[in-house]
Amino acid sequence: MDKTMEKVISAQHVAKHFHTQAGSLELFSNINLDIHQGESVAIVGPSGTGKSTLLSLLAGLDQPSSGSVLLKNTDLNKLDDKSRAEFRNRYISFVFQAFHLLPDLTALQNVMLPLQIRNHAQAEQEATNWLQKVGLGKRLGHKPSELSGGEQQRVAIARSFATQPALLFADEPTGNLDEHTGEQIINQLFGLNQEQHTTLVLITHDSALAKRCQRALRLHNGVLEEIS
Amino acid sequence: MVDSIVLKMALRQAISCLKLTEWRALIIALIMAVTIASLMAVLGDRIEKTLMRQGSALLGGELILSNSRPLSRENLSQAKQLGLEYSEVTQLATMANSGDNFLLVTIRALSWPYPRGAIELEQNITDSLPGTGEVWAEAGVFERLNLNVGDSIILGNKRFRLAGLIRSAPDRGRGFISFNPQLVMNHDDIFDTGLMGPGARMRYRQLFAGEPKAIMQMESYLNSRLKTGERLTSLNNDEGQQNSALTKASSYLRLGALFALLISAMTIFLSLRRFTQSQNTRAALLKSLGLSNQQLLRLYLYQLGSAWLFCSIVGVMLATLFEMLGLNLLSTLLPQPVPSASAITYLSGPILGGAILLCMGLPTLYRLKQSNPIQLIQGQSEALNWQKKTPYLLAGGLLLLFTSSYLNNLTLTLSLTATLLITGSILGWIGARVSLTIARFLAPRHRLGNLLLSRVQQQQRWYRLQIPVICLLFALLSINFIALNDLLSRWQQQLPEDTPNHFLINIQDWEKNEVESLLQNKQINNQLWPIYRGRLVAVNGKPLSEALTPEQLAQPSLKRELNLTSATKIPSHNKLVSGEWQANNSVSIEEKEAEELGLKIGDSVTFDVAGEKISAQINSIRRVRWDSFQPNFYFIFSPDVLEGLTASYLTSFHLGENSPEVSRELITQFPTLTLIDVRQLLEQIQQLLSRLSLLSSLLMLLTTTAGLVLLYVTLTQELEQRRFENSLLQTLGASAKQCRHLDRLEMGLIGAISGLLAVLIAELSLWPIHQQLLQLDVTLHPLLWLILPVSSTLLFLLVGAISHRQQSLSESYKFLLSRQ
Repeated sequence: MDKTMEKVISAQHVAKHFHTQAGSLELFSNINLDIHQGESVAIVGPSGTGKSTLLSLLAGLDQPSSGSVLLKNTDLNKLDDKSRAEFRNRYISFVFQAFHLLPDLTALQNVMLPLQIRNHAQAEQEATNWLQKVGLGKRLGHKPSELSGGEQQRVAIARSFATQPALLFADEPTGNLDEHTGEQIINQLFGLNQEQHTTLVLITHDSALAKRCQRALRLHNGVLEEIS
Repeated sequence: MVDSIVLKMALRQAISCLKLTEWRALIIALIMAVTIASLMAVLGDRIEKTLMRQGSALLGGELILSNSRPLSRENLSQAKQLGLEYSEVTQLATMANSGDNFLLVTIRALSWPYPRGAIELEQNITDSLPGTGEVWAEAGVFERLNLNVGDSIILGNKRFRLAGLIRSAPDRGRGFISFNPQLVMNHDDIFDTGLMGPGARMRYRQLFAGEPKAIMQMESYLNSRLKTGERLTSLNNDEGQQNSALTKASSYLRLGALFALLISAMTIFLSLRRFTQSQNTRAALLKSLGLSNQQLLRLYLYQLGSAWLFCSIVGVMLATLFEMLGLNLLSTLLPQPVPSASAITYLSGPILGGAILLCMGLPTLYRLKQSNPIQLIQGQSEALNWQKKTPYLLAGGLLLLFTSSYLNNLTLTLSLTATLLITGSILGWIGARVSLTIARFLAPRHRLGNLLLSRVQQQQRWYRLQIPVICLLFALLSINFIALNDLLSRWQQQLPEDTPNHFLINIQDWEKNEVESLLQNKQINNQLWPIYRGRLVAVNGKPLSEALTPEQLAQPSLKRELNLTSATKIPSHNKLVSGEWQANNSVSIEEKEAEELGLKIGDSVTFDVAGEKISAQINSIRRVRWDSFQPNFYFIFSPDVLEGLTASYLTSFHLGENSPEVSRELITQFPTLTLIDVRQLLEQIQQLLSRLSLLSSLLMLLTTTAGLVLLYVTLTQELEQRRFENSLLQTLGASAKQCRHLDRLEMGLIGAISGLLAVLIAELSLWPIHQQLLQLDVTLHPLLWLILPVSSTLLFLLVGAISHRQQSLSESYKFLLSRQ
């Protein structure tokens, strides 16, 4: 790993606990993690250990109970709503397990959406290019309900890369797909990641998938440890 | 993100959301609100413009002096001195006759043209008044007597040529007399008709117009010389407009509209809440893509805006359609043409609809600020937090202000809203409790009893809304129908067969014997009553201002001339309550009048009858049935008291099948008599009531639609919960049929409770209407007890069936899995 590369995520002494009726529940108390530009990092661990919460914290969607998370040297929680939204639009993308495409928009319109939000002048051309890259050049006008699960996830991938984000967070991207389709999607995701030099943070149960990442981290009993 | 893209996206969302129940419900409720608000504003405006006589052109002048006695000519000289324009009008109601047909008409005889506003004719006539021997008439006269311009018509002793068809005229008057078709004639002709005999019911008016300063001087001049019975009306103090039957009807309709608006606002609120909840995931996704909260709010506001625009267009179109229907219903009752409504009134629906949407929408959509993309990662849609109620209280208050400004009456809006809310809360509480009690009773006795009990316990808060809404709707519909239609016909049925249906008034002394013998020849039972017009001026020798309290002085019977009569014995249809009937120097007083004026046996009363003072002692008090269609009097003197005074006579009698024949003979032989066919009057009242009832039914139809949408929305609020329960039951072994049965049991129970409560409310409300307004015996309406609960039950079952479709076992299983 080239440590001279820019540090895009820096989590220091991050703790997260929740208040429940039964009392305070601590997910983790001291997580330290640095991720550099272009790295691919997998976070694995059993259910309920707080992987998704950690991802939310790293993506600046949630606030840690203590400690700090800096994304490109910026603490998102110190920004106002507008600047935070702009930051997210400019640097961050997500790929979700449930795809989360807008059902009333076509594949093309779904991919255009983040580009339009940032007022991209050639949103349509750009989105078309991305859909062609993921092999859906002929399905631009199809709505999500007319696409298979794999195709929907490919649209989601095209959408996430279209803004050329610095950081891509993927939450069990193959969780809703069969093995074969999942394999194809992963190949595409990694291919594009390398091509675009995007930083990829991935949550998965799949150890084979984790092995494809440059780094794999296990979250267990509140402790995050490198496993490769 | 540029606004045009947000807007485009909002439009796309607005269309695609049409597949969501809550969005559709919101659209329908908003259309209803816009339609009702616009319709009421437009109808109200047009009716007001027609009847309220705002503006001097409609009043005929800026200052009007009126009385039932001739007015002083000195006023005219004063007006001339002040440089005012003026005119004199003499008005009376009489039977117009053209060959075989008779019609009760109102004649206005004019000395000069109206100082403000002109009589507009269909014909191109340049004269501002009819020539002598000519009359101008409204369309009603032509239509109902089947006449054309140029035909002749007989009024009293004189034949007139119908020279013009009146399109519109000022000074049309109000009240029932204004429902008669009207005729205008030259003042020079009125005396020739012979209709102005001593007993005739004349109305004299002087109308003035001119410079404001001169009008003010004239007003103070007239005020300082105002005689008893004289009334001065200026544009600013035109109280009459408050009392016109149709103005009252229009306020009644506006109150109906308030109920509909409250229902619509509630539907919009609930739909918006559910809609906002359903948009939570979408909002989270848009945020994950970089949309800020502000942009998100703008997106949804644009979406609401597009819905508002669509609903406004459809609502105003519907309102225009209903407006045409409504005015068509009222066409015979309103002087034509009805002035068109100002364009702004058509916008009141969209404005009020927009206000409802904004007041309810802003605090609701603002909750989307809470939606967090975390839920997309964690795979669980979060429920939005609805805890903070303050914004809604503020929005509700604001909405109430908007509504009251629309209804033009803050106190009325507040009190009616409070009444509806309080009644609704009580009904809701009772209904929900009753449902619980019945479910508890059924629990150990019915196969599905326990499940029903648990369902009823869960749904209590929705019952508190569903039951009162449907209950009040049904009760209002029943009251509307029964009070306006049923009661009038029942009242008529209660009258004895031989109840007089004709009044003959204005019989002069010299015609008395001949009229009597004609009636006797026709074997018509009747009694001729002498009529003297007089005003009470003193009690026990003291002027009224000293003898009576201010409350007593305010009695309407003191403000006008009364019909006085004399008789040797008590009328057979009156009942002696106290005292004794005496043949000399005595007067008998009607029971209520005695009570209101504080008069008792032994008091002496003095009347001014045509300038002469006559006095007598009260010796008896009578009870009178005013609805008996017999001539009835407050005061009946012993004949010696009124001896020597000029009287005209009146009588009433029953005419059966020979009615047209006798009427014709009477009118032909005695052209100056006024024969009033009570059936014609009753028909007019019935027509008025049935038209108003139809109009209010039209409104109730809209209100009912709004109510049904609300019911639908409330039933879908907990749809997820119901689906979950049913899915669980099915996977645990219950059949789809059993689940369906449980749903039906619940809907049937709530429907029946709503229906029964509606009957109770209707019967309780009809009680005072029966007893006090129409003085009928209070009776229950058995049919109502059957119809309301049955139809309400069916309604709940129907809406229930539409709102939650049963799912198959596999669907249920999938649904349960998706909730994991």
